[in-house]
Amino acid sequence: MTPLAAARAAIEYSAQPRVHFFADPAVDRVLGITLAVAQEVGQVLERLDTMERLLVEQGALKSGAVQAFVPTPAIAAERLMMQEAFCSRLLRVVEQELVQLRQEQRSAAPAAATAAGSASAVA
Amino acid sequence: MVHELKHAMLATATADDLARQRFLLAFKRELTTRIRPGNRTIFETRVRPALKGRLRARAAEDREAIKQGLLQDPAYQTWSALNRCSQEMMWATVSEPLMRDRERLEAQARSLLESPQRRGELDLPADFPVYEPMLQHHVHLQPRGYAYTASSTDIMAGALYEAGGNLYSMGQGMGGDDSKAGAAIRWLQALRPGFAPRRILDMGCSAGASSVPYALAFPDAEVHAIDVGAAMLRYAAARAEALGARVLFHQMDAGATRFADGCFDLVVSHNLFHEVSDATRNATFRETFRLLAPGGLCLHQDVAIQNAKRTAFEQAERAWDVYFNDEPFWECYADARIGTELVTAGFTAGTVREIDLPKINGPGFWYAAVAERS
Repeated sequence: MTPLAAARAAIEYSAQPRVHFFADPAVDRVLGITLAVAQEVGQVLERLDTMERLLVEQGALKSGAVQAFVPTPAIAAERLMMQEAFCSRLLRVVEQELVQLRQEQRSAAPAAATAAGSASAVA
Repeated sequence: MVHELKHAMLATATADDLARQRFLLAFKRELTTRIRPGNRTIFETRVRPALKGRLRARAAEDREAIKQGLLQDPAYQTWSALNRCSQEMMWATVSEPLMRDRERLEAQARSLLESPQRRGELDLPADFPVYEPMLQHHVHLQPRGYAYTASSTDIMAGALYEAGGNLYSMGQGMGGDDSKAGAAIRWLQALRPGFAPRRILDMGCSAGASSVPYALAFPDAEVHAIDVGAAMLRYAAARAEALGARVLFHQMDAGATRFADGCFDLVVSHNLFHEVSDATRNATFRETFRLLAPGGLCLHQDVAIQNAKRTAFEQAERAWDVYFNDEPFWECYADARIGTELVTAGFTAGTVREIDLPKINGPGFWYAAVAERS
């Protein structure tokens, strides 16, 4: 069984009736997805920790070297961009809602201008 | 699993599986130790004043009114949603390695149970009725429930019970890494030094986590263990073989067993009563009395959640599990007067004791009811 098939089988096997605690079940749903992401972050943290420990054990890295690492200004700038890109992706839903609002605003604007124009023409 | 006894019936978990399990353990511990205590503050600052505004003062201390009031509070809703979600995630997470390893584990169970060197027995009568309450209710949200059996080789109910059970109890701070049987055996040996029961019965044994320690602590005794689910028992029997313990497993209802009168010197149960109805619990006490030989002893251990010692708020808050963790009998167990019930079942009042059973890896206690057959 592939890891993907196992993950899907586990989800199917362990399905329970949905319950919701908030007035809007969407809140429970979002919370569930957020928690799943948090679990994956927890798993990545452990992987990184394992990598660091193995590298130290094998002499490729000095103990504490990762924490002691000081980035050069150029690296720090690159990293800041990396973090900004991450934050953009994180805020995708908020941003896309604004994009949509702005598009609506733009498509409404010419009509409004026309309406205002005709009104003034009549006056 | 994160912490457990190693044996041949466990699924092979990868480092990533274990990391996901550890995340859940940490998350559940945070919820239990840091967020859940806030439910009392929510009650005192918002729910009780609101109830007092709407109801007469006494009704505001009513368990049912408090339950409803809590569920309408946004902070309590958040705790509830996180608690439920982490429980669902726990099962999905421990199911994954089991799904990958299912066929290998089923084959492993067959080979252990059919081995000429096997020590124990597995007795699954073909005509055993389907035990409906355990199929309808998926206790602790365990996928498909304790009694679910898909085929004549299925072991999933037991495998899930073991993989999820310890993680769940530890997350609850209820001592998943504590040996309930170990605590009981230590207490019994102090009560009766040199105690050497010839026949022992473990009622509601699930995956046999308690049955095995009795077999190892009393090697000269014949240890029988009963439960209602075939896949649960098949796993329990294979697990006991893998651990080198001789246990005779039977598919039986603890309230109506097929054993002869007076054939046991020690009858025990561990965490059984909060999973069965008032009627089944009382039938189990009558059966305990019938099965004990004169001079025999019973020790029924469970979680220490007796409502007689708790406020209406504490009772209401604890009842969350009834509704959202599929624990339908949690509250009726907490309300029960077990000492009185044992006397009604036939035990002489003077021989019945309800005790705080110290945990092996304390601090804290289990609840236990002990009675002697005179």
